[in-house]
Amino acid sequence: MAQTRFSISRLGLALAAALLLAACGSRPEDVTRTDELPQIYPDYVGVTVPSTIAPLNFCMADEDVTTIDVEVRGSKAGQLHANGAYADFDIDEWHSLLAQNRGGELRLTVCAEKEGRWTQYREFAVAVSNDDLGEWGVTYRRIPPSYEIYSMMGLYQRDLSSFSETELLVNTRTPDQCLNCHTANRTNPDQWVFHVRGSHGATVIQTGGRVELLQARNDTLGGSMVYPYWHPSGRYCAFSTNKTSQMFHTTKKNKRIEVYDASSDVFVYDVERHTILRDSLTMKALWAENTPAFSPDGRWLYFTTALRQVYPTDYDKEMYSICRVAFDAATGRLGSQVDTLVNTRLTGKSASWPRLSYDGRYLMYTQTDYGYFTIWHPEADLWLMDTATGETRPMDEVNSRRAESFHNWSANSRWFLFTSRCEDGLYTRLYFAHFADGKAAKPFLLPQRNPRDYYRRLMHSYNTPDFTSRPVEMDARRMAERIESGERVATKTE
Amino acid sequence: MTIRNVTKEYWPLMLTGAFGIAVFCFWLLYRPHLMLAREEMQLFLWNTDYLSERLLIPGGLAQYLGEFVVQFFLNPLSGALCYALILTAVQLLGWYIIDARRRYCILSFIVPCLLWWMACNPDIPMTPVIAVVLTMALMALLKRRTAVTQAVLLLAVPVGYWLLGPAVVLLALVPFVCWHAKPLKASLPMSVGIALLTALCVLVSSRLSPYPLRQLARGVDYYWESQMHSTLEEMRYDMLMRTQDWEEISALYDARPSQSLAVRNAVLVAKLNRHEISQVDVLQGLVLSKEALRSIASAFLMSELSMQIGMVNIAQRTAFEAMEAIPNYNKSARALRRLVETNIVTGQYEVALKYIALLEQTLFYRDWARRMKRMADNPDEIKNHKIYQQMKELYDNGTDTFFH
Repeated sequence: MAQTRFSISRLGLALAAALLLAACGSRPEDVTRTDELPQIYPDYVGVTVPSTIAPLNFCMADEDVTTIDVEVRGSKAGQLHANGAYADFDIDEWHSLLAQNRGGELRLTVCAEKEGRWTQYREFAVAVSNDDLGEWGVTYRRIPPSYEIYSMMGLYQRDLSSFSETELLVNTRTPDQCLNCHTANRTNPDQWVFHVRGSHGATVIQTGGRVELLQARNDTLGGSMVYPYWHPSGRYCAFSTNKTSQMFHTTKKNKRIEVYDASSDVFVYDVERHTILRDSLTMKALWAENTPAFSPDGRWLYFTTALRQVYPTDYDKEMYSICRVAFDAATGRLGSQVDTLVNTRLTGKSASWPRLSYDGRYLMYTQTDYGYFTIWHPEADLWLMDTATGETRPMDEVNSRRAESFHNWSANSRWFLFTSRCEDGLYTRLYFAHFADGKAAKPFLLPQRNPRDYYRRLMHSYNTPDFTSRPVEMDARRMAERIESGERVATKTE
Repeated sequence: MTIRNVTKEYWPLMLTGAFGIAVFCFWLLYRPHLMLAREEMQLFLWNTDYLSERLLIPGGLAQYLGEFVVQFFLNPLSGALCYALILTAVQLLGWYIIDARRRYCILSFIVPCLLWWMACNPDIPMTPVIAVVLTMALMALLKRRTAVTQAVLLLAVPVGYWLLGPAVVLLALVPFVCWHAKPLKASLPMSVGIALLTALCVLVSSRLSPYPLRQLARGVDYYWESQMHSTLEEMRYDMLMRTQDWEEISALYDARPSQSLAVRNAVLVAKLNRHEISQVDVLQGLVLSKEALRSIASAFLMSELSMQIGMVNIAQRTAFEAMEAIPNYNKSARALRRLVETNIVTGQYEVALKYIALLEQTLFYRDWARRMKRMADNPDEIKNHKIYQQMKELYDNGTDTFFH
């Protein structure tokens, strides 16, 4: 009996060992060395990451590679190993290694097996920044890159130290409703707003511990509250109101859709008084004001404006300038003078989505040949203005030949995120970059456990992302019930 | 044994056979377009993620198996055979469950006829049909009343609910139909208990899955609420357009003119291919506005006819719209196939490769996807493809205008 037990346990051990070996894949042998850098997906070669980021799992870009073997050594201490179809790092060991090498770098040596032959590539580094990310994660909308009809979409949040993504609200709970940009106040999850479009439309605002569902449409305003940006005090939120249309190209190279506004204006919403504060400076006839943003000190309201054009004939002449006007938080009133910061008459281009770093030092915006719906413009690039000197420059460190678009800063202004279609030209992905001394490091793609498999299967684009300092607390079921109900708070206009 | 004796002895089985043949002929001859329309509203992938995604929602197994069957509808012959086998099996199961004497075997045709009727409704997917079939199979397994089957019956309700959806409420019939309990009122508590347990499962599932209670109560994928209902007429024209049966399209329209803008567009293209009108006539007569996309079938029809006349961006847009309009949020293998073509013609090879990678995981699109992968990897090969090369030249050299 004892003999039998021993045999069974040995058999079990042998089986376990065999399984372990199978799981690990094969080990490098008869390795050929090359001086080339490995072509990996995602391209993490030479990126700079925060010390709390999730494991940068990757695979070889060449799909004929069957196994990769990755040795990671910290410049200060520690090492890590991964072997398999893709590099799948143990999450605890990864975080331990990052913590040990904060301010240093990870050096990765990649061996790849293809058709039974192993090749070892030149070592590359991943810098581990001394700068904290200072954020728990990100929020974003996931939506198919569709034309007019949309199917499943949702608002999500993602822990940046792991691969955990959770639903904030998915439209399966609220059938036929379109869920728009979730926007927090300076990455604070206690104060946010998002818009619901459809038969149960609403503008949902959480502030001061309570959630309100505002009427989707204000008749005096003649539209709904579309692109939001919070005033740092939390009392106000600037919005644009847009009458949006779209038309489709028949043979324009690399362009499918042109989204434009028949009209648009910018206004400030007083959260406490449920009042829309209108001002003729940001609601001019014949002009399209759009994409508002407050300065971090709350004293300025930035927005874009363009002379309205005739569509479709002059669609490529609608060009937006970036302007700002003083804002008095005590009265909720705008100043009397508008400054033009990026002038389309001088640049010959269209500028949109101004976002000031929270330290107020830089203004990041998107530049295109025309229009403001930048995600459908392959020429869309991120640009940076130094607010101290007024100088602007393209952010070549992060731009690609395809659309770079919606961007936001971390609260400490040391990191920013943006969406890009650089991968395939259609499905927007989320990138992060370190920012110091006016320059951005090479950006890195939002990590996933099995990145190639995940992004290949994902039929959604990442949309309107932002950092969040803590997880957003939202009871999706309760929220859906409230959206489905007729409960709405009326808004007034002044 | 004389024919009369054989008939007398085996008439129930002969009736079953006749029923199966009738089902087969009906689908093959009268509703092949409905089967094709069902097939184009899904992308059945042979991977574990696809299965696990479905198992996360109540009724997910029934949906998965339903979609497994529907992939065979791409070929109407195999689709009709599937329907015939399923509905015949339901009849035999029903006969076994009610344990009827031969003269009552006709009763066992009630459920399959009901399911047949359901299958003819484009708004009812395959999921409830499969759910009912599997629930009946469960009833057959629990046919004998023992302590064990009674316990299993209670356990089968929550498990069955999660796998099959609210169709498990049919298990409430087990005490009456299978156990022939007498007096009837003695079985009532058990049946009421099963019905209440099912209702409780629905309530609990509303806390676990991202769907409103009303949809869970009805079955997450039991009924498609869509503003883009396809008509059988549009489905039929779509099938004819896919097979490029220009004569039949013209004949059908001449016999019965249609109000559908997509159908009218299809007739123009058919006439062009029959050399009855010129390309200019087609371009002047085509309606490309959103009104022509009133249903999923019309969107697919528009995509098909746009490809025929080389309007690749319109074919792309309409295929994408058709896919996004699928009421249960499925993706579409047919739409992806079209999008692979349009993205290759317009030079968006990475997007084409993304879709190809998905189609490579399907049963019936795999070989085509592999051929297209070679083209997407080596764009110069497009020159060797007469149709794509012509479309590419039109796309590259055409004057850009807008459509809405």
